[in-house]
Amino acid sequence: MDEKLSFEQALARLEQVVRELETGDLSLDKALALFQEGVMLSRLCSGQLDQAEARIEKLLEQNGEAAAVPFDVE
Amino acid sequence: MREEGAISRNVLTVRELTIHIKRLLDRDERLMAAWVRGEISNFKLHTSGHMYFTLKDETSQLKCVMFRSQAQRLRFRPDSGLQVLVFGQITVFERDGVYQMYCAEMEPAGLGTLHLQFEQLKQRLSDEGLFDEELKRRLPTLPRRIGIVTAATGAALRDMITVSRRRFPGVHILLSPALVQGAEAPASLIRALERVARYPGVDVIIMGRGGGSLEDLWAFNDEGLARAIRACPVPVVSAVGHETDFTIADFAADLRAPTPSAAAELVVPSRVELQASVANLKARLVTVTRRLVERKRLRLKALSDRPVLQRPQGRLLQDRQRLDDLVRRLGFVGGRRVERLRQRLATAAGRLNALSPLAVLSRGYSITKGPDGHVLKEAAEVAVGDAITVMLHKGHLACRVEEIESPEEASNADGREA
Repeated sequence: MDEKLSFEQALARLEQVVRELETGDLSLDKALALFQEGVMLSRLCSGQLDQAEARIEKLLEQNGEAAAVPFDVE
Repeated sequence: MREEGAISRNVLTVRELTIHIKRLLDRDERLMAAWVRGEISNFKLHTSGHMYFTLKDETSQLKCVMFRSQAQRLRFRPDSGLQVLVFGQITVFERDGVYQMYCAEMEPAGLGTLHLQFEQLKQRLSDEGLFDEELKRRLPTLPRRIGIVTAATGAALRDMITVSRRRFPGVHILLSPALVQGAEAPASLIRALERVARYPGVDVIIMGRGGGSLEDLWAFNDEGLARAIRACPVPVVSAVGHETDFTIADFAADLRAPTPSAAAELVVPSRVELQASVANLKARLVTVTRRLVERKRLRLKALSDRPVLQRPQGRLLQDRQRLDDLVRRLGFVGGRRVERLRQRLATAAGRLNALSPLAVLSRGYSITKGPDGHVLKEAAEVAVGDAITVMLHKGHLACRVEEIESPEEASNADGREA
């Protein structure tokens, strides 16, 4: 499976997998392959939601290059 | 030749008269610097940049001209039908012999200048299609990085950060600082927008500022900024001032948020909600797969419950036994002499013969057939006088029926006897 799937794509694919399983008369092989894919997709989605810490940065222009530096909110 | 008795006449040329009138007007303080209110009609913008129009009210008209140098400074576009206040000098245009007003300034009457400028820019960009609904892009479900274009100091940014962190603790925000008011603000906003839009991973941008006066928010009514928003490669959410403030940037943006805090609510997904929907999908995935496998199992069981499959070994053994039997019998037949076979055949044929009705006749029984040749089983099948045939073991007899004893009588007679 593509590791570079965005959360959105992964979620959309997961929805599609579930719908396919719910509606289609699938062979056991196909159903289990979809199930496996669905489990991986849900893991991928959950992983992206579990980022713990906020990152607030400020964009600075240095010598014509934009660079992000940490931004102190307080 | 002089005319007799007439008062001497002081004849002026047209030019002399015109100059005289002009001097009179030019001397009048009221006419030197006047504000006049009226409705523009016959508005013409000459290629030179000068504006020519007539100011009118219900009963009168005033010819007006505004030269290019003054016209260029206007922040709205005069046009016929517009109520305006004009300031300038009223004097005579000698060539045409008419007085007219040379306008130095013009303001919309009723609506303020800014308001009119806003309405006009909005109309023009809208006509151009810059605000079309089809251009609006959908916001990402889970943006990797959120760009924020606003002042680095100020309540708006703080509010947005607070709301964002609350909704999604792991949020990534990239601030692109900009001036948000003053003459430099539009250019600053455009640069900050372009800079953050180019930064990798920025999926959506919030651009805005906190509340303020109409003038404070004015930078967001800039035509260049509106175009920069539409040209931005990622969706832009505008968040300018309070809920009641509308700017050109709001119309150009992919989505207008009533306030900066609301923009953060719209852009940053709620982690709890997303987790719930992922969990829900996962639960559905497990349930539906389990159900599907269970259905397959039941179908398999239904098939395997059929006798054919239930004891496949038993059936096989039966078959093998029959096969063995056949093979043995084949071997038996094959191993016999032809004579013994013939003997068996004769015995079989004899048994067969014993079963033949013809063989029964040899023991003294006979068969009687009716006139139509069918075998008679009951006396009632024939009538007196019918020709019948009686078959004996050897030969047959042609007979005629003389008397019939009815079966009923016979059975009655039996009943009486019992």
